[in-house]
Amino acid sequence: MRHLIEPMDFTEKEIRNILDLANRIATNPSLYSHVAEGKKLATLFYEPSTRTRLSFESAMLSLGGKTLGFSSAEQSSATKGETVADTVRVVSCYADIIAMRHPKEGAPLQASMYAKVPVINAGDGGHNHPTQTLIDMMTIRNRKGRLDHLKVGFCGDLKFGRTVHSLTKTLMRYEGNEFYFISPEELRIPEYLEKKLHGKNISYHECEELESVLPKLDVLYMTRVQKERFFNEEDYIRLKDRYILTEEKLSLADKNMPVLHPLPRVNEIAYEVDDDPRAAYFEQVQNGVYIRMALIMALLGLEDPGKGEVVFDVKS
Amino acid sequence: MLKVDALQNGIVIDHITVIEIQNGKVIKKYKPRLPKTIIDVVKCKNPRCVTNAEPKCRQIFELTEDGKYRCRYCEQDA
Repeated sequence: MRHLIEPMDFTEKEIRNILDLANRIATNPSLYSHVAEGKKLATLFYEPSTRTRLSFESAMLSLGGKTLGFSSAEQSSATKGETVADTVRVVSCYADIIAMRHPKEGAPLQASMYAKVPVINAGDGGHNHPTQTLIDMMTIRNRKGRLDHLKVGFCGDLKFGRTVHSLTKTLMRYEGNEFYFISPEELRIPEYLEKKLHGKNISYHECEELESVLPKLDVLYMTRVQKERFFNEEDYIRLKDRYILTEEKLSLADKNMPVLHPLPRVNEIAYEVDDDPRAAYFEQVQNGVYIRMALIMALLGLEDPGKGEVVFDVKS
Repeated sequence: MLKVDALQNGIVIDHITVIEIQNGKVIKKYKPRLPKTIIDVVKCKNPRCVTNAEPKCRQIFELTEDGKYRCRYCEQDA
């Protein structure tokens, strides 16, 4: 039985297979509309989400399956003090696969140790968000034609930005990638990520000014400063409007540099940018459904009707 | 041969050398190797880590390439 808890759970080949399957689904969604009939996805969301939860549910419904679950901790047995371990043991009796979002880092890992069905980490605190990473990779590969030898800029909240951490860890595995981390000093990437980059001799730069870096980038990844991750509201207020991407700033960038954002955005990308062909963030949302469909198929060992084979061996 | 508990000594005092002495003579000297994984020896300091919220969670730390122990759950250093 396989899980997706962190980006390293899949090999590069498995990631490529999932991206390829997602693109096949995108080309012909109706071909996949019955592959998960009779299967159930449980969405266990202990903290608020719109896109991720609805995206998972849409994905399962699009595969012909059904969904059940809860969308906040207040709706769950967590209010009675039930542990994550006990909850997933119970839910394993109700569903064939679980997608979990939890505010505590490592909670989906804990879940995977007790669940009898595959567990997908739909985001754990400020730590990882591996399905968003797959979406980001699909978007980058579709736009740039590759995942290697890219100069990738991350801007905004890099300390609590789990999508940044997940995507960086995954892109580090591809040859020749170089990273630019643009943030205020208080929101720099966590130390463990810096150590990973050092350990693999990967080129990276940390700076505070977006404009000076824009002309160098192949990809720009913007993030929101997340109020919900701060213990101190004053710090959040001081940092929240530090970076705002406008058309004027974007004129400094390459005309083929996609702008990604995991959403929701607040004001870090001006609305005028939405009409720029480089804006890729709503494309990411659509890709999210296809990626999650591919991921559910992969983890449940469901055969691709287009190719007559499974994505990878789920028994390994 | 004397069995040394490296879990108690190897991680509390870094770079120790164990010297075995019998009948007043040194019979063996060696450095115990740090274990790759330690369980329930140290506690994660990260208040956002699930190990500090879930009663059933064990404290699992893995040895990294730079010789530090990192929490398996949240990846923060011990």
